[in-house]
Amino acid sequence: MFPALTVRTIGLTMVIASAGLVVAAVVDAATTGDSVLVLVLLAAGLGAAGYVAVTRVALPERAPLSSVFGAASAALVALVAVSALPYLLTGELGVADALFEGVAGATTTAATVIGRPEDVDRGLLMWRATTQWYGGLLAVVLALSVLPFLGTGEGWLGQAPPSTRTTERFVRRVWSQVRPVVGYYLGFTVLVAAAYQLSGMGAFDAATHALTTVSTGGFSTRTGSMTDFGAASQWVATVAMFIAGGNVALYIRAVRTRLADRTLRRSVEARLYLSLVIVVGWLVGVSIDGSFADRARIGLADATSLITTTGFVFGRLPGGSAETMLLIVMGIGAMSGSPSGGFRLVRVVALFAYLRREVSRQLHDRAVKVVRVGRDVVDETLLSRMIGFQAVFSITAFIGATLIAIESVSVIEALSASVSAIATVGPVFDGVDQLGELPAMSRAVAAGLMLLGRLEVYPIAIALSAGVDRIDPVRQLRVAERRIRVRLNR
Amino acid sequence: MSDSEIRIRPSASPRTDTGSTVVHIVALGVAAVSAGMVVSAAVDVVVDGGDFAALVGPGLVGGGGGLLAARRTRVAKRLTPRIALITVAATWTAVSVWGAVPYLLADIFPYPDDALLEAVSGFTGTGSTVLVPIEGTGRGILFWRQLTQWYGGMGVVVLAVAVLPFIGVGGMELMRSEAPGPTADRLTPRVGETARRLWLIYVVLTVGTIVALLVTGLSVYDAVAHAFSTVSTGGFSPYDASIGHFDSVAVEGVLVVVMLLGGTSFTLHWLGFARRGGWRTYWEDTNFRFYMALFAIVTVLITASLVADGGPLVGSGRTAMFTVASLLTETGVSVADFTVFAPVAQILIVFIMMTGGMAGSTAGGMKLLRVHVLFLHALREAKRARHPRAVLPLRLGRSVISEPIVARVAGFVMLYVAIGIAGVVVVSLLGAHTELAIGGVATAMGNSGPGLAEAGANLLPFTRPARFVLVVLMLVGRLEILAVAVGIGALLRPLSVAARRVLAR
Repeated sequence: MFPALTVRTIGLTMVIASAGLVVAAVVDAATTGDSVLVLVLLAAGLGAAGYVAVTRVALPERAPLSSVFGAASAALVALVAVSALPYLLTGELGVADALFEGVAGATTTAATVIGRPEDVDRGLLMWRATTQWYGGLLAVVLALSVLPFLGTGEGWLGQAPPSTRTTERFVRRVWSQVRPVVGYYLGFTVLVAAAYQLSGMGAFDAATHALTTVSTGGFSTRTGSMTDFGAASQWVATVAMFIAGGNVALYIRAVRTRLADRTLRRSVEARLYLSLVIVVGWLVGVSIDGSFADRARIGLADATSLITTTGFVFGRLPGGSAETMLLIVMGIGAMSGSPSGGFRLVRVVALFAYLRREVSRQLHDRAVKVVRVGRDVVDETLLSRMIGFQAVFSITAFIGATLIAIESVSVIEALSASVSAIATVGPVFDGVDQLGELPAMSRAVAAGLMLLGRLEVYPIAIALSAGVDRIDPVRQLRVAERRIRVRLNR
Repeated sequence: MSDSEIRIRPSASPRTDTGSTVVHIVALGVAAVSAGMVVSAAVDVVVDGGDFAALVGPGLVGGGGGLLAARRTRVAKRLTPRIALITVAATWTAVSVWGAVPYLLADIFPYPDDALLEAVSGFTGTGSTVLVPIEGTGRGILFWRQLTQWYGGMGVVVLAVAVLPFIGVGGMELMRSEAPGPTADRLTPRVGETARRLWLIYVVLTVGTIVALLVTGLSVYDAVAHAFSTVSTGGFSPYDASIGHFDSVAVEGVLVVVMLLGGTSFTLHWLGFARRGGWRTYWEDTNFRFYMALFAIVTVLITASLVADGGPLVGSGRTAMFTVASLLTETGVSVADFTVFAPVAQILIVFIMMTGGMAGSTAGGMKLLRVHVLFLHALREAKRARHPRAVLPLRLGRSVISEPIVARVAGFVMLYVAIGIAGVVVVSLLGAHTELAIGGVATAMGNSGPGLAEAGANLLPFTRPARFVLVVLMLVGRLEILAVAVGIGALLRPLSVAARRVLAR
């Protein structure tokens, strides 16, 4: 029933997850120690089952594009399931709550149903942070290795994809891309954890927050999120979030060439990213009270937290025009090839280039012009797809907002909740503080939006394309032939 | 953008031709609305409004001056898209400025920019107001206020059916091919002839509405005033409570039909009645069915939301139907304050404010034709998920839409949204909270009327600079963006040339 590729991917997810569970068990044993048994047993069970799946199922000879994407989606769903299991088995959360927490973890959204994390077992908190770390890793792998083949505009530095390929070559290629990503991701996490500890956080807080910072996740072990920590830690968080929102492929390229490669510096997307953080940070800074240092810190921190779709809280979100700006940049998200969510800046750049072209074409309708992002010419089919994607993304967000509005207290609450969910951010403006506090039905809608947002609304496209299978080119040709003959006979 | 390098259709003597054409059309426009001022002055005498001088003065001056200027100028034989767009932008701006003069002379606003806002709101068919309270103002000047909308609607049908499709603004070439029936029945491309036909339909619709409203028992003044603001999908009313003032099912029923007709493509009206195609013409049009479906669905959803909040079924249905007809067609007359509706109803209302009515009608917004095409495009691109190389032509009804037109439509919708987002940012920077800013920009760009939050009745909750931005957005929405962009470009060109010269030294 399930394609072999999907089964292998799920198995791999289970094996990797069991490693995280072991770490969580160790942490739990060293601290509170109430959940050790559950975590260890779960790790053993998942590890064994996953190992069987990976070793016993052979890879298929060829895998069509949709099955590659199916496998990636399955990995996300499997991650949600294994993320939810420990909460459920320790009795910490009920089924619905555990699943929501799992979705929030796997999609790197800072939405939680846990009101006071301080009361929860340390092992579970460690696991909770780890789920976001895995979610971030999955997002980067998706962004760099799978989505480029779908041509939604994500990571188009690669070439146009062939529709089918031998699976082995595909897996080898993905693996060769994933290895440096994992290396970067691990190294970056360790660095951030060290920086957090130096800034005055305890070892446990430093580790968990590092995991949720590099993945642009945003789970915290404190009720007040980042407000519970000092100014130095908040600066560390801001810088780390900013780096995490960048394109991992460009980082790796820059490191490999010892900074000789200028793609990162020349990237229009990177410049837009930096200027957006500064402008929005300034806007937030001027709309809050406090000394200059406080305003600069909180302004930049809020801007970075929402642009990178992390969702750490640094204080009450400001109202007025700062709120408007934050709502907009939250939907856009950070750079492509990062674990952040949302629309991605690269698409904004491309769409603006496209708009310029269309406006000038309106006056000079025979002019031939190409659309460029920086120096790269963007392929026309890709543009066409991106516009389609943009429309599906907007319609999805709108329908989400309408559904959430049924239970919400204000238009802004519904709108920001929908944008926050589809961009995998977490905080909500007006009304509740974050997505986890929404009423039951809205929370379910939000969870759906998070998953769709993480998969770049592609599942909707797949569902809509179901009818296309019925189109048979040979039959169409015959119908056309018959029509022509009828006309000739007249 | 270096568009000066790729000028494809150079005109023989562009400068003099452009100037003459623009002045000619502007002068005719000013003369026409000045005639309306004189008519309003006559009404003022009858209803004893007390603003006779404020109306008749600019009326005579504008009429005389306009005719004089029109006699001394002529329209160029060949119009390039650029000249046509500049003319359109200049005409709307000049007419609005001139139309604000009676407000200034009657001294009914504290600031001159408020008078301008009221005039632009009228001529763009927006219907947002800063006149508070409305009742108590002279009935003659209020008649002029209603008349500005009627003029605006008159301009828009010509713009939407005769000018924009032939320039192809935002893919509106579609209008040329979308008209059902054999080719010979299409509206003639000659603007003057087409305009006369459209105005005939427009006048017939207006007279029909006046008669229908008289039958429901309205006074002559009220019937004429409301016919002016609904056929044109404008939205002003001489009463503070708008249509709620009458509290009459009959009046609301008539107006729902009239507004929906105003929001229907005038090409369809022409084919349906002047060409005797009958009701089938309408129903055979794919986009008309899309329009009706959207109207029905949103009405049902908002009714459901009102009932869920404890409203009676029939009353809720009545309110919802009127509100949806009013805002889908971007009219803006109201029977209830929708800013107190449940959030879900308000989100749906913002959505229909953005989509607007059919292309080629007096309605504002992005136009359903474009929304429909973009929707089909998104669906098609989604279908390519499994079959990346499938060739899937885009069909609307019987016709296949060519790819460059799809690109233009998509480009227009994105431009609309991009300007909207930029507008929301600017308005909020000028001192409005997010909901207020979103509602204000949606209503201004859609030429709708009421905003969200505190701005349900009028635009006074916005600061004066923010209101000015909304005035610009009303023109941007009404003139389908491009005309304003080209107009501003034309204004800036001498400046940039001068700046370049200075820099070159």
